[in-house]
Amino acid sequence: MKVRDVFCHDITSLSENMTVRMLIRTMALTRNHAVPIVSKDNRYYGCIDVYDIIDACLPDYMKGLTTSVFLPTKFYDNLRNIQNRKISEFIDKNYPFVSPDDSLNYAETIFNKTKRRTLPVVQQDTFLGILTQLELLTVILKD
Amino acid sequence: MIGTVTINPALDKVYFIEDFAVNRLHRLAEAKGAQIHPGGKGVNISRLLKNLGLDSIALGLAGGNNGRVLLVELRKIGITTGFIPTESETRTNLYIIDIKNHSLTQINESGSCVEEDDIHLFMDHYQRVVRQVEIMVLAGSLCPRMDRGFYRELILIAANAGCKTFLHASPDILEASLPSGPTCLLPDMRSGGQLFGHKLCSPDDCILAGTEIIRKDPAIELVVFSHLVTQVVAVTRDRAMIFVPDDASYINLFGFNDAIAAGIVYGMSQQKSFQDAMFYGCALGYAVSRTKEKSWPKLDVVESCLSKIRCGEERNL
Repeated sequence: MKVRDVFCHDITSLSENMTVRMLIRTMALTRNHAVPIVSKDNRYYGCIDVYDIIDACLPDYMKGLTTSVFLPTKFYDNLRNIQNRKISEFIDKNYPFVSPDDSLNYAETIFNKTKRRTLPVVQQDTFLGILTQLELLTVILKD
Repeated sequence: MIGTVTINPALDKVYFIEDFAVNRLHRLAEAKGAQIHPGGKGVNISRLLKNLGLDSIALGLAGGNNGRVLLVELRKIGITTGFIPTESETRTNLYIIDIKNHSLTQINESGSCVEEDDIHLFMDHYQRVVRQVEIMVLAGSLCPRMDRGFYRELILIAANAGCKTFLHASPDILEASLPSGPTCLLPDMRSGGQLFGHKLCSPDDCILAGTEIIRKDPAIELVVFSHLVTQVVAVTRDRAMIFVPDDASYINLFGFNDAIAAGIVYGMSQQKSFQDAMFYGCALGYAVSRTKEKSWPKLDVVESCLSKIRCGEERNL
């Protein structure tokens, strides 16, 4: 089986000039932790994971900590402050992706290596949909 | 690639009940007595095209639990979705089919209002997707309180991107959307009424209205009237055609207009002339009107119906 047999053919995405508030709204309503970003000429650009936003809001002194029991109020202030900023600042252009012809084994390896839960499916710069790790596990069990 | 836009989609719930009556408890004996289908004009057209072997991208607004079910069902049948998630719930349309007395009771919700953010996100998404689409189908109702001329902007954006548009909506929406130059127009006259002041009771009325619409908006290449059912009228810039089936009987008209639209879009996508595209539209309409339930005929079935349609009359304009 290949990625093309199992991925979710949903091309919901955002363009780079949307705001962080729109990004978080989209994440909340689609229940996806990562949203693909597509340029105005409809080319895949990268992806933004919710952790990219969380990371951008963490005060510098907390970034080196491996665990923390609370988030400082500074975090919430930072989040409010960036809500109207363009998401182009937060795009991860090296976010991993898979192509429809990749094997499921390869996709699972990428999930495990990168600890991501959602991977964009891209072919020749065109964004075709998403593959989630849960979807993959469900398919493997059905098989 | 073809795109379809369904701004106000629905989850269609269909109950098959024997001897349906009000003020009575009906228990469904079998699970198949209740069905759920993704609904809305654009969505229906995407489904019909899929069975003809054409892939499409279904765009629109969908939210809540109904919205999630709608999208899952669409993807199950292999349709790519690009719906903007909304906080408001996607509407439900209820159909009660009495299989004993052959009656249909229908309750259609109007849908929820959507927020400005939803529209903003949709427009952003639409502008990107329209670049990879050759024909964009804009079909069905708009959400409550939305600007009736909403499709106008979508048609203009598509034209700028070199994409043809097919507009299929009720007269109030069509009137507010013109002039904007859609390639094809199919008024949804199910609720009766008038189109640009014309009562459309006969093929002659339709030809007159179609000619006037093209005169007002010269970019329009084809206006189709399918509400007379046994006579489908097509008006182009230089001629009018009336298509008739060899057998005027039908079993149900569930999705008849959507089938006509899907067949025409199929023909256009195969680079056929408007006359040949009309044959595909009428053949698909013929095929769906001959089945008891809402159906999605395959291409071979539609092509076998082509011989049952003839162009009964042709007039130069």
